[in-house]
Amino acid sequence: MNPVDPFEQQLREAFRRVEPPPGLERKILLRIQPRQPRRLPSWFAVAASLVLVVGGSLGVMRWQEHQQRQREAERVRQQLALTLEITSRTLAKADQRLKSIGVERIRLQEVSSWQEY
Amino acid sequence: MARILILASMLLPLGAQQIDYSLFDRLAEKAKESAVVNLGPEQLSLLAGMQPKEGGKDLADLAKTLKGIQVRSLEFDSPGQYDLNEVRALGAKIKGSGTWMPLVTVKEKGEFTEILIRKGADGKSNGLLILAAEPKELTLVHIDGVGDIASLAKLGGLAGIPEIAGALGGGKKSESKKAPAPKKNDE
Repeated sequence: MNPVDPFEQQLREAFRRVEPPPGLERKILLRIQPRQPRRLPSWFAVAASLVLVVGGSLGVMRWQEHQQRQREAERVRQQLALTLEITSRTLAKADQRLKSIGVERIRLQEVSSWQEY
Repeated sequence: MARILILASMLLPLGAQQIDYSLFDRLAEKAKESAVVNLGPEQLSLLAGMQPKEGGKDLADLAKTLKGIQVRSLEFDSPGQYDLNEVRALGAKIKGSGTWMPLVTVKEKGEFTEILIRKGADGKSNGLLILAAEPKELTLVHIDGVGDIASLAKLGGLAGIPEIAGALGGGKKSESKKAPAPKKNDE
């Protein structure tokens, strides 16, 4: 009987079947399974929706208020324009009468100061 | 009793500054055309936020001083639709309050125009009133917070607001004449 070659003995040891440690199969399967997407809790979705709705509503309300203020300011401007138009027309008539009696120009501040004497 | 009298006397100056527009409101029913402007301080403050392309600062500054604007302008179909004496009485009542001082009075037969200013406690003018009565037109303009037409004239040309023209417009090129404004009364 030939003595076993040490190299051959090493090969036989290396290729000897070894039972896997317990749980190895489970670990490998866990590692290769695709990760399930993390689901947010339902309350988070509700809260986010509420924030969007409330924020959006506030934004729309602010914009509408701004538009309303703009419309109101324009109405005031038009009324001021009407006031100036009527004032100008009235003063022009008075001016015409004054000119007809020879008064060319009056600075109202000076008239006011004269009245104080 | 003394407290009531003191309170009444405190309220009297406020009442004196109130102008009675009931005559105009009543005559508006007979008028062919009428224009009414009622602007309070809150509404006028909106002008301060406007940003016209030119003169935005002038408009905003003046808007801050304006406290109120009341305008009644009536146009009638024919003369004789109102009693001129009632309008004269209104003018006399306003002047009689002691807070309004007449600057210019122009009278002709059947019509007159009066321009009055109101002086505040600090001696500065803070109100302008124009009362004009013509055979077919009756106008009252009351501007609170502005004491001279020159300030109003600054608004002219800003944000589409028309300019005030004429000798009384207080324009930039106005020249002065030291003669007092004569009263012409042909009635």
